[in-house]
Amino acid sequence: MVVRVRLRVDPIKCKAHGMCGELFPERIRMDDWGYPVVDPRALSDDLLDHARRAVADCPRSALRVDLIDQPGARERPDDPH
Amino acid sequence: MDTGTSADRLLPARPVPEDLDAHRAAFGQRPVVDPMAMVDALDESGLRGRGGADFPTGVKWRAVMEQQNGGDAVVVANAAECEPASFKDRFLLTYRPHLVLDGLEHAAEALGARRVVVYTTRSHSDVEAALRAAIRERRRRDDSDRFIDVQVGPNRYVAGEETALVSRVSGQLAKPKVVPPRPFQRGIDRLPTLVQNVETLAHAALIARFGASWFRSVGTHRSPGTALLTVSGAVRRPGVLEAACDATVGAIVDRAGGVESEPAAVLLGGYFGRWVAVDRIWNRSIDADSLRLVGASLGTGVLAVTSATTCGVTETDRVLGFLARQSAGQCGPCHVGLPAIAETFHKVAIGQARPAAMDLIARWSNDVRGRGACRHPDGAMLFLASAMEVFAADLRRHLKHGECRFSAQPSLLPIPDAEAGWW
Amino acid sequence: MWYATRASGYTALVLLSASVVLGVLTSSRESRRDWPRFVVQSLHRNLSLLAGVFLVVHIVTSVIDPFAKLNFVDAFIPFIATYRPLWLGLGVVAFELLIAITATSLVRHRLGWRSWRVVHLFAYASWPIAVVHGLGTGTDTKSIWALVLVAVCVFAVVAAVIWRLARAGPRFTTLRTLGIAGGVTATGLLVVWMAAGPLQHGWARAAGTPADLLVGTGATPVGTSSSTAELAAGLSDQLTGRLVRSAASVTATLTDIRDAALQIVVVANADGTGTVSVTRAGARVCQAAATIGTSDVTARCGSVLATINVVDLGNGSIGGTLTTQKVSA
Repeated sequence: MVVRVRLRVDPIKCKAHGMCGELFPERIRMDDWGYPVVDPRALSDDLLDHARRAVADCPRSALRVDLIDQPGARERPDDPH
Repeated sequence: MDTGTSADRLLPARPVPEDLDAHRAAFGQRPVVDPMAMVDALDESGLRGRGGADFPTGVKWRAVMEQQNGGDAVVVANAAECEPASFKDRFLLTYRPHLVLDGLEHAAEALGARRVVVYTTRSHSDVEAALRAAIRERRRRDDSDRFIDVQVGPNRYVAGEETALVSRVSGQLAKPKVVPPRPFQRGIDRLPTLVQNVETLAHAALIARFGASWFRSVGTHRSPGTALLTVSGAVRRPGVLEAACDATVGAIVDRAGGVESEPAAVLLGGYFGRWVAVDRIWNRSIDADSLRLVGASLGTGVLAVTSATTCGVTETDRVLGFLARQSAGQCGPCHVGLPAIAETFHKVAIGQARPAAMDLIARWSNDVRGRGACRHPDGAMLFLASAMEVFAADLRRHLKHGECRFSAQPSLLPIPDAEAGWW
Repeated sequence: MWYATRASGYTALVLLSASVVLGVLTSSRESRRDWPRFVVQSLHRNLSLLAGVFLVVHIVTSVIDPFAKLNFVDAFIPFIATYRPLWLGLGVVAFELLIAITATSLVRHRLGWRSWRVVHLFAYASWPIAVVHGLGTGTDTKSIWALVLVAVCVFAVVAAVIWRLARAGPRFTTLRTLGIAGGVTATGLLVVWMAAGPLQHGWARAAGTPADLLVGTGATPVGTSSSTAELAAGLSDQLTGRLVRSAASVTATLTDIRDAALQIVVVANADGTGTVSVTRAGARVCQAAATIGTSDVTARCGSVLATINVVDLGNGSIGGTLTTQKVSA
């Protein structure tokens, strides 16, 4: 069974330092305000090292490599409150 | 099926607050129900949450049971109602607090919860007083040694969100947290926590007495029972109504006295909800399947009607500004992005933007969705998208010519001032 | 060995200053095209680690070197050393702050940002303490190259801090003004202190250098080695002086012609006992019981055996020779 992982940013911890975008442009792009937009697709093996580097170098420890399909994650777009 | 008449289950016949005696006279004692039987009844009844998420109540209670795994849990009645256009929860708590408290006690019983909380809002002091009085009454009378704790949060839009509520009751700020874990997994005191809207709890209390099939005797299969609605805007008699979930929007508005002039659009659900043009919604039933066809949902039961003399663009502008100011300030895309979008939209509304501003708004809207810890930016952007669709023609005129002759009208949709006092 | 201590000390200070400058710059979130943020951050970390390496060398060599008579404990408990205790102690404080900063940075992800950050802010204390330590203890402080080096480091850090504060958002106006005013004042105070303290004559003594290490009353020469710690071995010097007879004893006061600061006083008592006192520039080098022979006097000074031959030149003046040789302890 293949374990699929993805990169996730904790939006509360993130303070737009911008290291991640420099280190992992394959999956992270910066929005107009300097905050990272993280591609939610699964990470292939060759990208894992870059992902881990971005995770390690984030000054706020706001990035994480997570298993895909975490139970309880907020997936419903209409879920307001 | 008669969809136009009132179906008063939750609301009393006369608007007189019911004390414990009156409540018992109307409904009898609260029955003791076996936990599994209670959850089964909720499942069968098809009751869904009335706090905006429309989530199946039975499933929610079961999820907490599963998480607590024989251990302790916490139950919370969410009476915060920080949605400015909604008054139904406060109304219910003023006139039938004991129905809500019955529902809360059913939940506490079913989950074996030691800690029972009602969470209300700082600026709703009369509701808080009514609640405390009702709780005192029960304690004096009673039967249950269960202590109901009243917790008070700030009147901020996101303070009623369930993780914000948990955070506040846990002694921190009423700001949303990142999920997972969701409160049903780990909440107050690190225990599985059930957060349920007060209207939902009132329905649950009635289901415990009268059964699931009774509940289903009105409404549709997907949206059974009745719902409380706050009808406001350009109607003659704005207020809180109870309607079967298959009533039509037009019929409901008629019960509120109808509209003075021609209705133009309806805001459904709340400030995180959707605008729908009158011709698409007037004869449409308010059940979920029906509303989904026009991209809307009942949300917190807000039904705000604009007329031909309302400027939808200006109303949207004001609400958008409010939503931007109500950001908890934790997540960049919301805290920085929403004000940027609101400001740009405002410039469009007053005719000081270039056409490229519309593309900018569209691009930015897309960027902020899904990138907050909670769904505040998402709700705001869906609200904005619906406005841009329904008021498209008006928007084009505003872009070119600035404010229209109706822009200076007083606000139809309430925009509360910033609350003094901290999170 | 003392060379190593001083060299590694100044190197560590330069590296630490560079690291602080980069740390301050990286906190501003600005970046240039040629200098990506992760590069600046990486450089900051590597320079810190390198500074740490040199710091360890600095501490180890200072303990090993017999000059200041420091032991291992002095490196960890501030202000108990015998050599310039206050100024050395500051170095210990800075060292321990840096240990805390480094340790927390290594487990940053497990610690959580807030805790890490509180400790990391101590860097703003550690650096100035290190600078003052260097200026207070350093035997090179008065030399031009050392002054220039320290001045550049101080200027770089203060400039970086002011630049960073100037870029803080509008919310931080009070902090910004206070910070800039504070930085300028602190630098001013440093200059004033330098002029009144380390750059003055007699600083070495005022700073707490043990007396037996002090050399002359003039400017402390650069490169003072451990040879002033005790009487040197292998001497063969001419002496000149005076003889004073009293009822119970005879006192010969002699000055070394080669090393005029070296003075020897021999007291020969009637009962055959005697003492030899050796001083340099008034500070005692040695005082020991003497063995009074027929024509010479011997005394043990530390690990050195001193032999003094005295010849009466008449009129109370005497001449003599001083020979010293190393003996096993």
